[in-house]
Amino acid sequence: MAGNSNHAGFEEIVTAEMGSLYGTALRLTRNPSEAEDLVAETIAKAWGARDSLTDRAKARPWLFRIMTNHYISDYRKRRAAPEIEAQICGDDGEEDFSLFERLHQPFLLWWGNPEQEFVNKLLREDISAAIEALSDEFRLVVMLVDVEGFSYQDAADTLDIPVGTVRSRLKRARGCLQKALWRQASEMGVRPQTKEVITEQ
Amino acid sequence: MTDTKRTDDIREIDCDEVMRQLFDFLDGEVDETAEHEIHHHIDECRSCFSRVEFERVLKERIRASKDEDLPESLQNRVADLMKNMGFGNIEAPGKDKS
Repeated sequence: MAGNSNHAGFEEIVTAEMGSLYGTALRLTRNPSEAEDLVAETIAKAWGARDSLTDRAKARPWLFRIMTNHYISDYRKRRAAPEIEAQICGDDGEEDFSLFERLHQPFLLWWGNPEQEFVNKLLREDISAAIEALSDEFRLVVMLVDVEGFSYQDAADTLDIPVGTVRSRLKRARGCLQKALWRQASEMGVRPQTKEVITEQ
Repeated sequence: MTDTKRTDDIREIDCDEVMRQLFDFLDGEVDETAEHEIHHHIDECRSCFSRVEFERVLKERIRASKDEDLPESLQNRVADLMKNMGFGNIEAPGKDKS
């Protein structure tokens, strides 16, 4: 950004993206106060680095890249508590977990639909909790692609990784996310009575 | 069927191929040809249709979980920050300007 359009252009970008930045910051830090700090610091950093934005169409990944880099280099270091994700996706190779495969009962005809019932019962807070339970690596791709609607290329530019890595990371992240939702449903007692549940009991 | 492409132009793909491309398809990351092929398959395959629909609805729910209600403290903080950057007296970003 150059010349007199600097201020107007920057304000426009910040105004358009602040809600998304805060929403993502909240899931990354899992803490409203830290999320506010992260967004404010991101905006200050972005203003300082405004000359590096050469293509206005890329403002979104540019801004998110500044925030994720700042989060990774600063906020993540501060976190003393271990990540929660080990509880969800350890080394058991369950990143291929599929809610649909757990829920779908092909012997039921179209009027019986346990997978649809499951999704209908999901609350926003259930999904937020499942996202927050993911590792930083997985949480970032889920936030960018699934929540913010980034293309794989924009997510790759934001995270400075190849598109193929976005794709594979997203696949594993979604498996973990679905597994987290499954566990929550089980704990809340809202899991449908599939054959498997009956066997487990 | 809204697909305007002639059915006999579309390559037949099997369920495994649909599942391999499932998330690329839902994320809008497949090309037009692949998109036609998948649509053509799920129009005729109840099993794949059920899976695609489930993942599509779940993806929508995840998208809808987006939380972007800005705290007033952050709006004011950013307004102050931008004022210090030389933006003058601006309204706090994110506040309803209506």
